[in-house]
Amino acid sequence: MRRLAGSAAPLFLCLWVCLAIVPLAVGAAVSVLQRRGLHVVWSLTPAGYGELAESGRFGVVLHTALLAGLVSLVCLAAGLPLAVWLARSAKSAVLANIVWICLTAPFFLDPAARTLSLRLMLGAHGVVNAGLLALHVTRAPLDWLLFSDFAVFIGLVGPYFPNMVWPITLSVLLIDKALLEASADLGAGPWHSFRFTLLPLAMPGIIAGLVMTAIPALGDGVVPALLGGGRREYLADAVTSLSTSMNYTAAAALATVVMAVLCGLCLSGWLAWRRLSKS
Amino acid sequence: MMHRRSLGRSAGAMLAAAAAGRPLLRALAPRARAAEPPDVIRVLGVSTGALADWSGFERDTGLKMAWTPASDDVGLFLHEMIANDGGDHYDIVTCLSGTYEMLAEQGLLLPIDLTRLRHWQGAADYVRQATPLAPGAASAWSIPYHMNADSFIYAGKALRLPSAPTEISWKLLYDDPATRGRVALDNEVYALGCAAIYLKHHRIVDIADIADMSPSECNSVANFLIERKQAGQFRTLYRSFDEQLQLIAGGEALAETGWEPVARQAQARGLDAAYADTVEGYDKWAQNLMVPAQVKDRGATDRVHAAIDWLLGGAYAAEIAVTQGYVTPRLDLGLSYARAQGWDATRLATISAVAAKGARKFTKALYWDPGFYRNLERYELEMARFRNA
Repeated sequence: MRRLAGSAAPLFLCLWVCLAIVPLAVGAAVSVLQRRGLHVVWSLTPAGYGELAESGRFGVVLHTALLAGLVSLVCLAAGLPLAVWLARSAKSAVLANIVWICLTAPFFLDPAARTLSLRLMLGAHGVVNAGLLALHVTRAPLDWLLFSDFAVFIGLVGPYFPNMVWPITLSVLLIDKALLEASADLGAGPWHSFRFTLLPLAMPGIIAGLVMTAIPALGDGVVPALLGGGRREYLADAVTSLSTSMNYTAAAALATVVMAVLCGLCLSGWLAWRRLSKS
Repeated sequence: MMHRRSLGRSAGAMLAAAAAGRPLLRALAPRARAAEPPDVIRVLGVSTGALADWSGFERDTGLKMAWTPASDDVGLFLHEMIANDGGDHYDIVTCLSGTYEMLAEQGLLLPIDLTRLRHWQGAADYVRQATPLAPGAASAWSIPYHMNADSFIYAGKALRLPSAPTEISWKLLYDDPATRGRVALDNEVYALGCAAIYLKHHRIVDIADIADMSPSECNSVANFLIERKQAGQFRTLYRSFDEQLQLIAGGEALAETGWEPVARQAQARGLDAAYADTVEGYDKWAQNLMVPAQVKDRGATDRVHAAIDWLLGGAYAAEIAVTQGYVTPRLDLGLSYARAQGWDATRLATISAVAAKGARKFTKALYWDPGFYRNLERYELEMARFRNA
């Protein structure tokens, strides 16, 4: 088995380089080439990056990354306790199953239909505004509930929350119960057991959850299109707009900037993980 | 989501596929053609241009219609024609009027002989404006077969404004306190064209040709939109038919640039939605018929001209006026056809109303929208600047 794995590794590496690394490198190369009509010519120019600056798209990348980061953190803050409860503390199997079904439901709904229903709820005459008016919380419908960053944030948290809970739950389920019992036997309170035993051992699931939440949220095109209202671009809008106008050098430049931001985030995460491991 | 005019697809993919895929496709194409009976006319066209029943066509021409529905996505259309050798698969293709240019430049179109089109004679002047002529006598690269003049939808009762044919200014969208914060615009580059109609007519910005704006003209139009956005004029930008309808139905927008079928649907639901006749002009567009160059090689020129002539005739004009509200080149023939067929008064009135609308709106100077722009990347950049301001 080990020999088979050893011989498959170079093959996998070759495939990975061809299918993932080479396209990224080609994209980075195209981003600094000159565009002439629909053609790209072999002349170096930073024009693609200049167009990103002129159209405000560096800001779009940072803004969307911040929003995706915020969505991931909120999902983590709410999803970690839920995952621990599901894996360790749920006494009622019925209740746990209901929670699992609720967490599975978003995968069965069409993203556009799901988002459109949110749009109806958050609109000027939607149930949220109607409720707020009925409760005299506000005197007029709140415009910022829809077509705003807030609406996009709400629209992203719902569908991506299960992406956070699933891997963390599986990760916590795999932790040997004896380790937590040993921690308690040695005098650690619930917080110390959580902080120094459960959390480090669940970290692979947390990292997987962060990746599975942040990356799709970063590139989501449906939610920003339907709830953002087009008053501000998000990353997917920018990519669509550039590719539909056949501006491939600027689209490649945008993809390269996004890759750089993601690499920076991964590096930061890795450094944070190392620091956490040492402490 | 439905969209009338969006661009798309990778030119890189187009060029690569064009280079690598053509020999293979050409090798396979004769087999595919051989399987098709010679009396079938294969059309790649927007679904809104297709009739539910082609029996009249088949009876009049002796040909069978095989209509492949396509979106109105200009990029997809060009991809199909250039990278996928669409001319091998279709006898007639249709798209927005400006798309002929790239195809003609690459030798992918066969000029249409206007002298062989009985129904072309007598087409209104405004139809001829959207007909790009080919070199030589009486031939065209493409011919409009249905068209419309887009403006904006507005809540006439809520705003206490009259309905068409009273003309309303585009100012209602861009600079009117009554609609502040309750205006929706198209989220694509067409928003620049609509704003340019207002700006050019009132000489707020000097624009030579809205259909072919220079970078500095695009910049000026975007600056105006940014200034209005920052003044709180706009509520949202939409992308689809459904969104336009929902914005009016949900009361999020009191006015929005939009398509006539949206207004018709809103009115059918009893909503407060009028479709504007405007002071300044319209976003006039035409779906044009084009003939791929390969048609000549396979000896289909005669039947293709016969099919085009039928599409310019009365039966098609009458049907499409009633079902879609679109203007066609010979609505006079449409009315004659409908009368001869004994259509009821309601349908006759609809055809007359569409004809009157065509005469009223298409004779305004501003502006024929080609759907494809030379400075497309600059249009896109300025639109992005507007969104991100």
